[in-house]
Amino acid sequence: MPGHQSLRLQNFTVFKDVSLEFCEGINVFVGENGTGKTHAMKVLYGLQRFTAKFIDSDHATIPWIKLFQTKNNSEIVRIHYKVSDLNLKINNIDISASVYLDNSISGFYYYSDKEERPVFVPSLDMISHTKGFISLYDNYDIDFDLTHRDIVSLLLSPEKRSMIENPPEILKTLEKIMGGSIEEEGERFYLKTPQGRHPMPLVADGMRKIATLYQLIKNGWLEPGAVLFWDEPETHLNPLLMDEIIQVLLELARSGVQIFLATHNYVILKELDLQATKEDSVRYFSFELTPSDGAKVTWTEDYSQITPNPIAQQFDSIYDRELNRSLGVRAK
Amino acid sequence: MSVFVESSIEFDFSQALSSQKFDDLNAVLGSVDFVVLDSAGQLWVEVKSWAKNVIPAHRRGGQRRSFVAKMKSKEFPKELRTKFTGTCTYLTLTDNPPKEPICYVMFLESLPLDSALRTRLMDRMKNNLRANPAKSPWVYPISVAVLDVAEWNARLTEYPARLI
Repeated sequence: MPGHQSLRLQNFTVFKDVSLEFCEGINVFVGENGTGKTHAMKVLYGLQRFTAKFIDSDHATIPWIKLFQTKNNSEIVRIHYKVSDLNLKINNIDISASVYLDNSISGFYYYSDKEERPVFVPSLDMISHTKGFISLYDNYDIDFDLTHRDIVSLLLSPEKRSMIENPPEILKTLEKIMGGSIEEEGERFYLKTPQGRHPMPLVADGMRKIATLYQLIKNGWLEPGAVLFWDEPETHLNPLLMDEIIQVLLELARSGVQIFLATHNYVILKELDLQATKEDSVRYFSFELTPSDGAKVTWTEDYSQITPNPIAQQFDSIYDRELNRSLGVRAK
Repeated sequence: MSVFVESSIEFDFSQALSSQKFDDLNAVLGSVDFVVLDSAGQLWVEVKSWAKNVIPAHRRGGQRRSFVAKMKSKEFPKELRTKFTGTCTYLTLTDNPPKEPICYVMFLESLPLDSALRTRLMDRMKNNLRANPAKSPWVYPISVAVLDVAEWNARLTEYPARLI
């Protein structure tokens, strides 16, 4: 199986010891705030992004501090422990890394014949904040983690020639949703429609999400074999657009892109459940904090079996209260 | 008599102040299946079932499919509203207009929807029954619940229902 296969996290942030096994299609992380969904995605991203091209080497440096916006590694290592151990199986190769309290990092990394650039789309919109951002990030101490710099860098990268000569159908789908295409000029993005060219900051927040996806595909970063991490795709997204977003994500997964989503949104989950066919590879991971063992993670391929599912729990509560209001004192 | 059978489901309303199998009384105007009076007000019950016990086994699949198709059709909300207003009309014409709050329950033999979709269905039903409220003469307070057998028995324990 290509892509990320499994991950073991020991004494890392909220995790005491968890092992996760991924599917090659869409992996969905569900859980309350603070259960480690984004942390797990950043570990996967960091291990792939910064260890490719290194083998049996101590020289690759994974900038955990920049990924997690901490002052030092002691904030990444689980409280009361001295070292975090991270083990990832990717493209059938086992890699490991350790993070020590004294800020030293050791590990055995894997070799890829090309620089691997997984894509991490943070929950914060960046396509309307591209001009000068990389320079700002590199020269000043600003409160953005590295995924924000990386996504801006990918958005501003040159378009891939093959995408210009032979644009995939999925771009046309996205153009239909947006009512136009995306153009870049002077590090700024514009939505070009028959009515004119609209600067990205004037475009609706939800449409910027779609524009981000569009630009990443157009620049060739979401070709077969790529890995996409998307933290809370629902942020600022009109629920009416979610069916089309899921349609696009399923198309990407079918083309060979491995996808990781962290979500709090019922519509995202339900659309995925409704649109995925038996041939699609979808796995739901439920993150839960336990009193003594940190965050625990379980997974299932069956949407209805996600346990615990805080999104469903909230709807159960709403349904329960609605019925009680309707039935009045009759309700037991 | 306070134990009734509708389609393949038996309801026991013996704990209620009164209960009537209303569609028998009001076949002309159309009405809900049961009107029950209890201390909380009026409980109007519309039963939707594909009556699997009276359908031969080899035809149940088709019966269920046509039931689902009917529920998804535009005619279905109209039918529910017609039965609701028919009940209101009958009660008014017989000089017995409802004075108590009405809880309208759609009872479904099976309801394979999660709680989010059930809640949305209840909102849609409430809007359907209150269609054009500004012009409607029916001003009674209405609440709506959609229940399957399990939910009914869990919540309305005084009125047990069972598949027969």
